[in-house]
Amino acid sequence: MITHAVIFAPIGQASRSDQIVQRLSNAIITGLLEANEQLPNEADLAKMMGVSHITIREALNTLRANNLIHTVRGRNGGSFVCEQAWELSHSLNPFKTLSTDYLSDLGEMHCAIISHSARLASRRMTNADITRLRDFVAVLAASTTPEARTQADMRCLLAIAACSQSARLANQELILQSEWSSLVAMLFRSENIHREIVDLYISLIDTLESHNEIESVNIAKKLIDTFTFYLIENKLKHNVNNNQ
Amino acid sequence: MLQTTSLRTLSTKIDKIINSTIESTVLLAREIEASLAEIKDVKLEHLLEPSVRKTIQDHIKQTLNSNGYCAGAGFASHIESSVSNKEFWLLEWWYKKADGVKQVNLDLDQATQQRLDFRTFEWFKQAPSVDNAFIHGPYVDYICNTSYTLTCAVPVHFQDQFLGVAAIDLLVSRVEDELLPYAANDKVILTNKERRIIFSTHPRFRVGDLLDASVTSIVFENDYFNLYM
Repeated sequence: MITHAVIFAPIGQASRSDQIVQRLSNAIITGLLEANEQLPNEADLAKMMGVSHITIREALNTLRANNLIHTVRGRNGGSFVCEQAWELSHSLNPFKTLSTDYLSDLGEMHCAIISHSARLASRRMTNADITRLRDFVAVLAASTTPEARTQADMRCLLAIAACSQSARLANQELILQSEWSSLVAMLFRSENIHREIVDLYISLIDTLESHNEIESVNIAKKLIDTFTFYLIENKLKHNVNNNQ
Repeated sequence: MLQTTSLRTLSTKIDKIINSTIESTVLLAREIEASLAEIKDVKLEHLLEPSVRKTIQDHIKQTLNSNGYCAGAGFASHIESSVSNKEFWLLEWWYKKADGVKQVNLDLDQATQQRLDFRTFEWFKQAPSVDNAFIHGPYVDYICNTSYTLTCAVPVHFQDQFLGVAAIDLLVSRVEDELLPYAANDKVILTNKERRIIFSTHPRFRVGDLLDASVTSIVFENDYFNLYM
């Protein structure tokens, strides 16, 4: 799944095992990495994420200590996502640890990337590109689980970024998705949010198809702003529940 | 079509880059086919054996060495599971580092390849329906090199069935490096057949834009690209 390519993608320059723990535990808690799923082995993780074996080992130790993964030794061994990860997730839930200004800021950055991608894409998309994007949105509309919806949504946004023909924008989108996807997976549990997002995508494609630059930018901004709104709302709700 | 001397040398150079890339890709595909054919009682599973993989890797590295334009080369194959074999993924991809010499292997395990699913990549998807070489792009390759890329792909067959794709990556920036000396005095724009600009010496028409052909006239074309002025 493309969500995995993003979760295990290279870490940025200031790489530390903390960042890895954050990314992987978010993915586990929000279900993007499923119960009993096997992680790539240490050597592969190190290579994919662009960090040393030692950093990976440290991160995996922390995840083990937090009961998010368990390791089986031997020939068919490896690290696997724990079954009960969901229940244990309360204290580690990203919506508990992340502040609203953090979520808001992440949303603004994402908005900048996608709205500008839409601006370029409105000029640069061919009919074949439009058809492909419509197909991706159709997959999103038909997805029923939060994980499938997150994966489909990621594909849509990456496609829009790639249609800008800007390598830098596409690359920034990919990097941003490594944080974004785990958070959004929580939102896609709601049927209403799912429907609202799909409708926004459909409006966006219409404006892209008619090469309407201004409207494409507006709807792209509205799409990401909608996500950001619900992320913040979710964070506030989470804290209210905790304090009861 | 009016062609000045400079336009003629430019179009010759364009043909040279494309033809050499296609030739290298076709050669890679044929070499892989030949290597498989040499194996006694060859079966699909042989593709995963270390010795066979090494042979394929050698062909790929040889391709990288002999073609000066390409940035990466490889072979991708996916076989559905069936009665006689289980599903497997093979992506052998090598690319040149920034210095243009050192070769690096993009090494991914089966599980990762399954997640990446290169069957969704355009250059792989279209290959079975196109008999020979085709060029996909330019496009943003955010999976491998995060650069604006052209990929030349040729289908590889095994016992008359589609087996996989041999491919070569060409960076758009490299094409520009090669063509700039030949287009010093002309305002020219090179596009693919969808009118997407690959090379341009006119600042108003950027690489990646779709060219509005009504404001230009075509001065040269081959099977893959159009040159406008």
